[in-house]
Amino acid sequence: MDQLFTLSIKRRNIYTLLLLFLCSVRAFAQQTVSGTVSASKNGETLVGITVSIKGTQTATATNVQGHYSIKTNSANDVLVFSYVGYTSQEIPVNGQSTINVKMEEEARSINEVVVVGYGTVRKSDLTGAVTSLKASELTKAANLNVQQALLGRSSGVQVYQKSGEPGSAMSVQVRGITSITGNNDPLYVIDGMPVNDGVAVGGAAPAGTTNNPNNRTALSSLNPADIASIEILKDASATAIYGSRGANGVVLITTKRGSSGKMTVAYNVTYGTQQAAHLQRFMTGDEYTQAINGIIDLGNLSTTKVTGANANTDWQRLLLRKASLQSHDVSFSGGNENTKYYVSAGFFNQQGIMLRSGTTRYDVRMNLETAVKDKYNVGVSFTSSYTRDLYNATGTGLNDNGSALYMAQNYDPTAPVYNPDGSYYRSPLMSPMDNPLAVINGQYGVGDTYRTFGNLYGEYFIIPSLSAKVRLGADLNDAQRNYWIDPSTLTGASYNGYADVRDGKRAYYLVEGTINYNKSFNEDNRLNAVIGSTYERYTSSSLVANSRSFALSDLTYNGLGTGDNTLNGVSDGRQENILISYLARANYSFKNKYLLTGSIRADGSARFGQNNRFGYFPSGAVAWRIHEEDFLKNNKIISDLKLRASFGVTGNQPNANYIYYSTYSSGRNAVFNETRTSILQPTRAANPDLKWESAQQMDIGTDFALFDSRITGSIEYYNRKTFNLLYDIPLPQSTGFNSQTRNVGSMRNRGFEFSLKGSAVHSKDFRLELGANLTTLKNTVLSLGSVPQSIGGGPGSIGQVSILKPGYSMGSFFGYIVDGVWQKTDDFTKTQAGVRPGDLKYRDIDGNGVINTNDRVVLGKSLPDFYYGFNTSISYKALTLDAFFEGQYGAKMLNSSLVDAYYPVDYRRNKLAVPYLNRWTPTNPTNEYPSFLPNDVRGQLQVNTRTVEDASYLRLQSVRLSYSLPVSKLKFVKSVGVFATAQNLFTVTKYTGSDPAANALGDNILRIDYNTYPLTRTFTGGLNVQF
Amino acid sequence: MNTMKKTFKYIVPVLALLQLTACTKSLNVTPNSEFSPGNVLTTEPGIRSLLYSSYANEQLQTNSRYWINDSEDCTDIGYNTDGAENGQLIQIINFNWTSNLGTFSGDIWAPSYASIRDANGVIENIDNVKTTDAIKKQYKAEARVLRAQAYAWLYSFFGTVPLRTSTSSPGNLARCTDEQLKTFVETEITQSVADLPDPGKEVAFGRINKAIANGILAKFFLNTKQWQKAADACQNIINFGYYSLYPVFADMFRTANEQNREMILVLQCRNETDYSNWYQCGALPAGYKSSPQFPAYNYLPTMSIFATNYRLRTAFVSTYAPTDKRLATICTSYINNAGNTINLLPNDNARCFKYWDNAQVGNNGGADVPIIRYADILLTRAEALNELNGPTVECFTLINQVRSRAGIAPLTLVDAPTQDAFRDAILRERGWEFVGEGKRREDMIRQGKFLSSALARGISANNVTAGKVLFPIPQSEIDANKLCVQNPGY
Repeated sequence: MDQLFTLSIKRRNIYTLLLLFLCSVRAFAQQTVSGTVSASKNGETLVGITVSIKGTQTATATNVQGHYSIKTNSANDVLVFSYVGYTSQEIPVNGQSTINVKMEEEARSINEVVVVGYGTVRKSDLTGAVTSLKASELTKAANLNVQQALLGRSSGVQVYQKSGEPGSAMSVQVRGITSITGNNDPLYVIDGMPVNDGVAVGGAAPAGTTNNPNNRTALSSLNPADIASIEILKDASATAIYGSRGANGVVLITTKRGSSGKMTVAYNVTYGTQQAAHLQRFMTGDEYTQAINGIIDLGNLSTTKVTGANANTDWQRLLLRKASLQSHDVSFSGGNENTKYYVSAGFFNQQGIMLRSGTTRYDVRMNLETAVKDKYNVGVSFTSSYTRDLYNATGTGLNDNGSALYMAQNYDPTAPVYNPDGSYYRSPLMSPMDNPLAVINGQYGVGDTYRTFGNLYGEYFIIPSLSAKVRLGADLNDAQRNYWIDPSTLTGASYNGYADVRDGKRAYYLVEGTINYNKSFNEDNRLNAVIGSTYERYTSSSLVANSRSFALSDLTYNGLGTGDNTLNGVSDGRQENILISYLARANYSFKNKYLLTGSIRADGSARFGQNNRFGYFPSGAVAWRIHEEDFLKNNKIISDLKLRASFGVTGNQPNANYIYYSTYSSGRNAVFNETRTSILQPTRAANPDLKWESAQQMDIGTDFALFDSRITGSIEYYNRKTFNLLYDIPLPQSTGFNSQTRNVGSMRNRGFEFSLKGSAVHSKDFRLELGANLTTLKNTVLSLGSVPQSIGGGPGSIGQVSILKPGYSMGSFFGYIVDGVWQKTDDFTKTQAGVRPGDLKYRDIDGNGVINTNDRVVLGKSLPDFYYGFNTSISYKALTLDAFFEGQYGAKMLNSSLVDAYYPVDYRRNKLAVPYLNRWTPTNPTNEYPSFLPNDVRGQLQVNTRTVEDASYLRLQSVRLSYSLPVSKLKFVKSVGVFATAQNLFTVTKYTGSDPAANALGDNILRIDYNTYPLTRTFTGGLNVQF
Repeated sequence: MNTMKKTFKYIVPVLALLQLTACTKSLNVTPNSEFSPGNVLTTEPGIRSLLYSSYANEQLQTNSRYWINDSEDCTDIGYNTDGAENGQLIQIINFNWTSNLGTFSGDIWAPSYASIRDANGVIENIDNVKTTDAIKKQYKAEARVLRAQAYAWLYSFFGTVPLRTSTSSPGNLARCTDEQLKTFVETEITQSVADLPDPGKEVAFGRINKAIANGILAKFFLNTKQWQKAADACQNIINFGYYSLYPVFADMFRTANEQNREMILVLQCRNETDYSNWYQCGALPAGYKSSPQFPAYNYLPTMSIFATNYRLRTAFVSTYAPTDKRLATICTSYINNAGNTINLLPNDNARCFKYWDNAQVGNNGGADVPIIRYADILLTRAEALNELNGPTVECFTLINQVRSRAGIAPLTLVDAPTQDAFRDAILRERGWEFVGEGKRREDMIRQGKFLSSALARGISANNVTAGKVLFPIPQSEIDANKLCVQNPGY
């Protein structure tokens, strides 16, 4: 998406950092130098090569023909030819008027600098598994946050969009699941500062319907247009330097810096439109009348038949709209030899495709750095943003606690929307569900988030090879969420209006000191070392106030103080955590062939009791650059080859504070004299012996480049075992507690990662580039300590859903096997009384003639066997077409709409069209769908092979056509690009629910599609201009 | 630039070094908004708040509907169809429940033991609290009765259970013997009565008094067939002279008449979330608008009607004498939104309307659920005396107080000439009197009719096994407590 720095139409790689060095300038007659720049490899002319005069701000770029022309001031001027991916060349003018240059392509993967924790290394010196993505390699589309841009872009990193709600966080997992109850998200580090990803105001809301399962990620306050590069650290040798927060991988984000030279002004604008990518089909009023009455007749049910006028209302459509999307980003960057700046401002607005949802962000950034090489370096990186989120009715409960979409899918389609008098029509048979349109219009929330995030740093070089660095950072997150439940809704009417205002603050402070030592002793020995310590403090506080029964309701939540004061409610909370760490790392390179890395971090956390506060996280890695050996050095096919292996320990701290601490807190009140009286009860079953969860990870990999680096790639194997799993071990409930967080058991994630990039066609006018990645994942719970298994519950009316059991994957579904439908000719003596033809045929696993909880088996898992992404980029002259596919295979998902169809909460509610229109009847003895008659022996069988579906998919995630306008003759503009993008164009899947990547519950492990906010299909167009 | 360099030269390395020696003492972080055990367990307001928590854990206003339905849908009076709740209740109806059924742990086991936990906390620490001896005695007595009551309830549903009398007892704890549990409940309560206030003298309605303690004992003795002790406990309550039958049967359930003298122990409900009675939402039939049977009940569309239907069996409703005033709590006919009159009597479709509340807000009704009321004490004593001596005059006096209030003819020796006949009469009477109050299961079990009645209703004999007189210990307890053995037949 980011084309701020696009200088070329031939190369997608952008973002050049020009480093110009001062040299003496003497006055001299002006002279024009011109020439053609071409690639030394194939003689192809190169467009967009920066040509500058060394030491000045004079610069130009080659045009489409590869031609340039520049006015020099002096015969001693030196021209600098530079471009990403090519080795810069400096050529003294020496009075020449024509200088033609052949650019040598850089063996890019070798000399590139890669950001790692607390420093940088040359990519060729990397010993760990690190995916490095430049801005140009991220998904090009209108993205609110960086997670969207990462989708499918890196092996070992699975990103999926859980919900189509604007602003909702996505699930990001690096190499599977590490922890059962601890954190499973990677650590994000922006410009050297860890992101505090806790939410300031959670999704809980005053009424079930306004509950929101989709937290906003802290990354939403970072404008993706400001990102220069992203490094994803995957193996322990790379992540152990982050110790207790490194177990789930680390995502390092570097924002853009200025480069010396004239000010560059870039402006990007995107406009777009979105619509629901896929809606489940529910019965129309006519179909409903026929099907429901057919079932009532067949079963001779007492349910009221469908009679009367049929309005054929499509409730789902009423809640949806075509929504707009727009973004504007403007940036100013530049600087001189010592001081560089980058300032930017952004505006992003995405309407939701469902009514009363959407997000808007305003952000500014300033990156400033002043430095003298080998002397000092001072800078600031800072961003501030304001985000407004609109939350509609997205509840994940049952009946009146479900979302507006849930009610729309279930509501009687023969009912009209309005009464003749214009008020909302309410079908008495749909109670306690409300009219879906009334709900979406009258039960909502509005969130305001103010976030300022940044750090100051100073580095002083005691000698050129030894420096001391201090970093001070803060992340201040101040959020408010206001809810309103209007009296025009049933719930609102019962309260006579309900306002609820939630205020939350989260702060994070960082003090970090490091000492760096970077020395090449001679050609063969190079050492790069860092030691340091950090102090990090996390605080949070919350205040909730609510009020109801308003004389006038027009002020909505703004009239909080005008409700019935005797019914006001208030609550608050305050928490704190501190992390103190010591870290050290050394990289040693011998003869440029043998690389050695060792690191250790000690983390002390206030989340643990006295005895177990510190955890130690060491790692080591070796790499062998085989290509540097004589026997491969001049090999024609292999242009680079590296073998590497690493082992290390990373950790995880519990998600909650104070788990080791025995305290008392308030709870549900006691009622005496019909009046509530506050109580105090034990807060938790405290565990003073709680300690770190630790993950041991082994990684073996190879990086290679073939045919002059036309093909590059890597293959690796990872194996991560988590020990001392933080697990809420079920206590005997007779102790008065449900569970206690303990360190028990172990879990393993292992798999292979493959990634490959290639340039298939590389001619003058035509280019074809291909890239692909694939990751296999096998997660196995190895032990849960003394607990044989743990069965987890589901949302709404769904009872038990999942099982956690040694030998099986996390997120395994647990339920019944359905073998078909009972037919008249079957032998009914083999089953329990009450089973009739047309009923679902559950497999009687224990063969005792009764279907009960003992007949459940593991039905599959939420985690895929493998996931993948591949992209192609085709360019012809100034025109480029990018297409990007991604997908997964082998994951299962529970489809709650099917649960509602098979196990209706109410027979009069609307149902999915396909199962009901093709149901079993005496004249249609199908094995596909049952008769849907109420069944006396059904009980809680909702989780079975019919409702747990295969969620494998392949998706065309984005297609983009871009054109770079020939503006090289214009003086006032450097480049102009136009583009059109389509996102989520099609998905190939057998999954019948809303989307195979959905996960409405906000749980990143277990996948349940519970009336998910529909995913969108987006079309955008835009313009990138650089002055 | 030079100044800056100089500043840098010293400041940065010094800061970097200082940072390296960061003090680890600052890792001592105490929770800001949680109370330390020291304050809670040694002060009078602290220990009182813990005692209140023990009460609160026994006050499951919203989930009382499960408690009621679990106790009635497996008997001859209750029935249920539709809705999410039916997923659980259908197993109660068909006697095919298993130890995984959520209601056993969620509505009965876990809250009872949470109450026991907090009662234990009070009992263990009360001696260290800085307060008067009188207060210490009273709180300790309340805690002991609350704990005994929880064990009595657990015993009724599950049989013997792990007897936890200390907050430090190990997680793995075997079930006690039948004798141990019976002795525990009896001695804990009898030893506490002296320290409790007389009825009406308690600090607030709902706090344990002497009558409540006796009532819990009376019901426990009755269900464990300790007839003389049951009769005596009832007599103790009668002797207070404080309680009486509320004159108009249906009106005793109205919120306006709360805390009337018939109510010895009730689950106090309020029309707000977390503290409300939801039973009426399940009892209301689809499309309900009004019913001529309930002219005082002003149903509003803002009052929820659940998809699930709490129903009463036709065979039971038909046994009421037409003149029985208790029929004023049974809805057999209503007018729906379309203006049609719907007859609910057939197809096991009548509804118990004891808990309607004109001030209901959404799901939240405020009508209290009786746990022990005076009529129960009268019938308990009548039943116990009949078991001891056959139908004596006092037996008839007792039952006829209840019948007379219901406006039906007094029971005479002609109607119930034998001990068996009187026992049957008592069981019928209790059905009419207490439907919708969750007492039927224990009554049927006590009188040995729980299984035979299920078979008579046509429930499969494969399901109606002898072990079903006890519910299974929740599977979560069996899994986590290695010494806890499941009831036979599960």
